[in-house]
Amino acid sequence: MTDDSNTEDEIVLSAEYALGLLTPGEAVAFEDVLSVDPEMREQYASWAESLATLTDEIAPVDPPKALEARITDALFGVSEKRSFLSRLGFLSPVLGGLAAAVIVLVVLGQTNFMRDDGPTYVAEIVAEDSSLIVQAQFNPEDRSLRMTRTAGVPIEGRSQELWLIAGDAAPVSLGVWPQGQVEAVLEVSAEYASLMADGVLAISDEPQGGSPTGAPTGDILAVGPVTLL
Amino acid sequence: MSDLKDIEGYIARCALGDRDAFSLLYSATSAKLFGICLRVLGNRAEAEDALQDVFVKIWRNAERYQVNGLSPMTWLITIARNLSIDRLRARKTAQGAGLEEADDLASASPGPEALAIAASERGQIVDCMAELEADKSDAVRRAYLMGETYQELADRYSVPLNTVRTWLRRSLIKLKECLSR
Repeated sequence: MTDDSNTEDEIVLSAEYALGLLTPGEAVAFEDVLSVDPEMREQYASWAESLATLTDEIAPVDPPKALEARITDALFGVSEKRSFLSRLGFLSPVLGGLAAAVIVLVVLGQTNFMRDDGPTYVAEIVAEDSSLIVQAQFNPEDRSLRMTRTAGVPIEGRSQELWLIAGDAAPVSLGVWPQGQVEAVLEVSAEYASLMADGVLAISDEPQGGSPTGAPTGDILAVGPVTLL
Repeated sequence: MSDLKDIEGYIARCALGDRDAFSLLYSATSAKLFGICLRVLGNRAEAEDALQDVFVKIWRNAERYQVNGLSPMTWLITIARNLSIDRLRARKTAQGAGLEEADDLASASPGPEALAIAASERGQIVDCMAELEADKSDAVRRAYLMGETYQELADRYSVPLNTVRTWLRRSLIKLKECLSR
């Protein structure tokens, strides 16, 4: 009799737990039992199996195509070269217009930034539809990267992050655009400074404060190759 | 449609960090799991967020699957169901227990015999639910598929909380007897 009622309690408790009918306190207490009692675990597993078949009546629905990429980005970052380059699909036309872009940049001439000493690198980081344009100038002497945004504003509550892509390497972050500023100066590390000459600069849309993963997670908003002035 | 052996294999390979296996698992199961998230949450955007949580959790907990004693689809379904219900309850700010950990805790290794019993229970629950009075089986279904709490069920059937608790517990014992036949 006692055994039976014990068993009944076990049956009911594990069912209530599987159904989520226990209060938070009861659930925690039950989990303590589960962690030490193999019979109770078996009881719970048996309910879980039975109850899961209640979902047999639910028809499968294909999730939107983009969701898988969102999930793998969240889990793995965008470290894979292939996926990053595919997001830069519009890079080629931009490179095609390179000569023109550089001339435009020089004419627009952030002359106040110009220095006489040593080589200077420039880039125009520009969105495909010109909704975002950033002029950048890199001085290898003090490794300063001076930038001026001449078009576009960040989305409210989001940050823009600047990336350097050297050859086939994964993009490395140079920093997050300071909130509310039109001009920004970043100091580039010595390691990255040496990659600047043949690099491409890109700006991505990120959660406030920048990418949580160390790789771009949002849309690539604008790109521009670095060239010697 | 991949069979259970395939899915079990994908989960095992996910536990070793195999991203290709994760992609195969996603292809094989995401529609089923998205259907569940969508049914529970009734909102596409929220179901998409839930499905993301589900697959993040699957990837991170894949190594625990091997010892948890659930068949592979049950493990996946339980994660999808529990995370969706947690979201639904957060929305309702109801007072039910958090279910997030439930699927982690079934770490019994029941062995082939118990697994065979579990397998034979699949499909039976519909028949056994039919043996319950309509409102009782409806309550079980609502608790599982909609995350309704004892309080919500009491309100729904206009009976005192203790009454609903008593009759649902009796129904669960009846259900178990039928399932064990």
